[in-house]
Amino acid sequence: MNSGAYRWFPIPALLLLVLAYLVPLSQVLMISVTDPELGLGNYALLVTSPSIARVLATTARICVITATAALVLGYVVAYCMTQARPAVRRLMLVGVLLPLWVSVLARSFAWVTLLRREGVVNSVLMGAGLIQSPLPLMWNEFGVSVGMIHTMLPYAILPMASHMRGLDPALMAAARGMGASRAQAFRRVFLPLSLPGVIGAGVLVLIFSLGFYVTPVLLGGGRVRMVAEYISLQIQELLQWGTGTMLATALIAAIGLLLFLLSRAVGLRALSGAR
Amino acid sequence: MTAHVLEADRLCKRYGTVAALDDVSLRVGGGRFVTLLGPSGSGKTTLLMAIAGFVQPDSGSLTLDGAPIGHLAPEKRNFGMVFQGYALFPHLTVAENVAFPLQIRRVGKAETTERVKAALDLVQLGHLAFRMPKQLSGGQQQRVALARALVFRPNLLLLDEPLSALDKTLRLSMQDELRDLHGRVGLSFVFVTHDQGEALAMSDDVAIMRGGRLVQIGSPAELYERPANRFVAGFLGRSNFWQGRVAAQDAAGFTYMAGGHRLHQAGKPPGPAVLVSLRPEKLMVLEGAGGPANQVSGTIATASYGGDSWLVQLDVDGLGRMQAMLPTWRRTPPHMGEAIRIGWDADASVIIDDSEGDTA
Repeated sequence: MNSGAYRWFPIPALLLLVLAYLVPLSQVLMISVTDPELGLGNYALLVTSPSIARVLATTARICVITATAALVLGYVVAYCMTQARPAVRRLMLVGVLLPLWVSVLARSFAWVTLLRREGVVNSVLMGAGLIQSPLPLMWNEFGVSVGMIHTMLPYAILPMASHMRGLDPALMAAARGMGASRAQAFRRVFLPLSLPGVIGAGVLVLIFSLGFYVTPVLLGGGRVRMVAEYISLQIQELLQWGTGTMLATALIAAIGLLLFLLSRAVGLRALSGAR
Repeated sequence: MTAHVLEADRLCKRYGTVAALDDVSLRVGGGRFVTLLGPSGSGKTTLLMAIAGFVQPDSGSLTLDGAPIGHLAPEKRNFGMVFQGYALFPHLTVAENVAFPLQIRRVGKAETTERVKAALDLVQLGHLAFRMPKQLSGGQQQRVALARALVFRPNLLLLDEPLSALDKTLRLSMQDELRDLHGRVGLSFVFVTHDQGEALAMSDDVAIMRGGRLVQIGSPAELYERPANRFVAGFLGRSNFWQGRVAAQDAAGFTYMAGGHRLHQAGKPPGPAVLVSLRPEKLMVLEGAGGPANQVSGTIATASYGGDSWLVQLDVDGLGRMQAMLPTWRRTPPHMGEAIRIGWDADASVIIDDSEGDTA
């Protein structure tokens, strides 16, 4: 592959990447240290501005909640998929993939109709006499988390399921043949062997969650601000280009750091699913 | 150590319309090395998995020393098992792999350490205790799997084609090692393979399976010398077959007519029609007068060199294509079209049952 004309084949993709991605990105970086004046003044806001601190804390909290919930729920689904008969597994796979074919916007609106004050959930609960007044299910962190967990589930399930399918079923049988109960075999063999898949899925979900925009905007209703919405607010409404680009740069740096730490912990090969 | 006795009685297992096990009975005990041999799909692995507890038979019973074990989960049976791909835990070191069954049994730390060391020494791997399985060669992984299956003093050792992943040279030396290990641990082994040579070389008893049925069980020599039917004779080594009609009977044996030849056979005829089987190495090339009771002439069709012998295909009038093994030291190379006389003793051929063994 490293000889002949083949070596030139990636050039168009590389050009596109440089022009459409790296050039604008470097401009973002430039603006963040030059607007309104040259220096690291914008970055100082990370530690001095209470509103930015609040946004970052909210973002971190929701991301951790989302990732944890998506991993726990997704692990169960992925495990069932691995154990299921092939026909059932295919059906489950379609079920997992289906939401990915529906736009995030449509799905978030669907959650709005479910969770709002006069929404499906509240009407059913009140109709059944279980609650007297509507529960606050959205325009708060709960609503945002529910929407995000729902969106993130496929990204949690698919890498974990693919990693689990790579595990040799004979290992579990071997453990049981040596006297381990189903639970012991799971805890001592399957669980530790499936961890790289869990970590890989976790990183993916965390990274996607950090930059989430549509779901927090719709389900947070302006009361729960995550960093992506805040950046958009700074740039589009307040025309604070310096602050916005600084936060964007910080977000990219945070993701880079996260990837670096995790690659140190489990190895990039395990993260990318390579064996 | 007295070896435990495992008895399988009339086991049946169906998958849809396919009978994976069809009325199979087997007794394993006395520290014997029992091999389940058969082509793929013969039910040998299903039988092993039923013994191990991973397959639930539809009917029939399994007992260990007379006590029923058919209802027990695999982990309650206390059988050691070596899997085809070894199934070593990749996240544990060699020593941790071997310690696994002891930890599950809550054996104390000091005793665990001691028994793991003893088990690894048994397979000459003490020096690799802290390696990861991935860092070992196939043969070494195989021995770790053996140590792990033996360390908890199981009632029986089950081996599912454990040598099939090894290259030929290593396979031969592991055969010796496994035989040797079997002699030292005093356990009964149930060994599954599709390799006839392996089965003949290693086993005390070979159970030949086909289409879910147990066709014949016996020592390797019994099976080779006295195959019960055409399937066994053809499956274990090579064989020539022909039909004959009994002509006369006397105290020593009988004579029968086959393809226009009058041939002699030791033993009693089972009926007026007989199926005769003759191993290629029992055919002699005749030069000069005299010789065995049965003599025919043929023409060499092909000859292939096998180091210690030539495998010769010859066309014999009335009997058709026959194969013969001619020792290479004995004569000048056979060549195509050469006319030769061949013969065999009356007790060299055997009368077998004309069935494939898969119908009752």
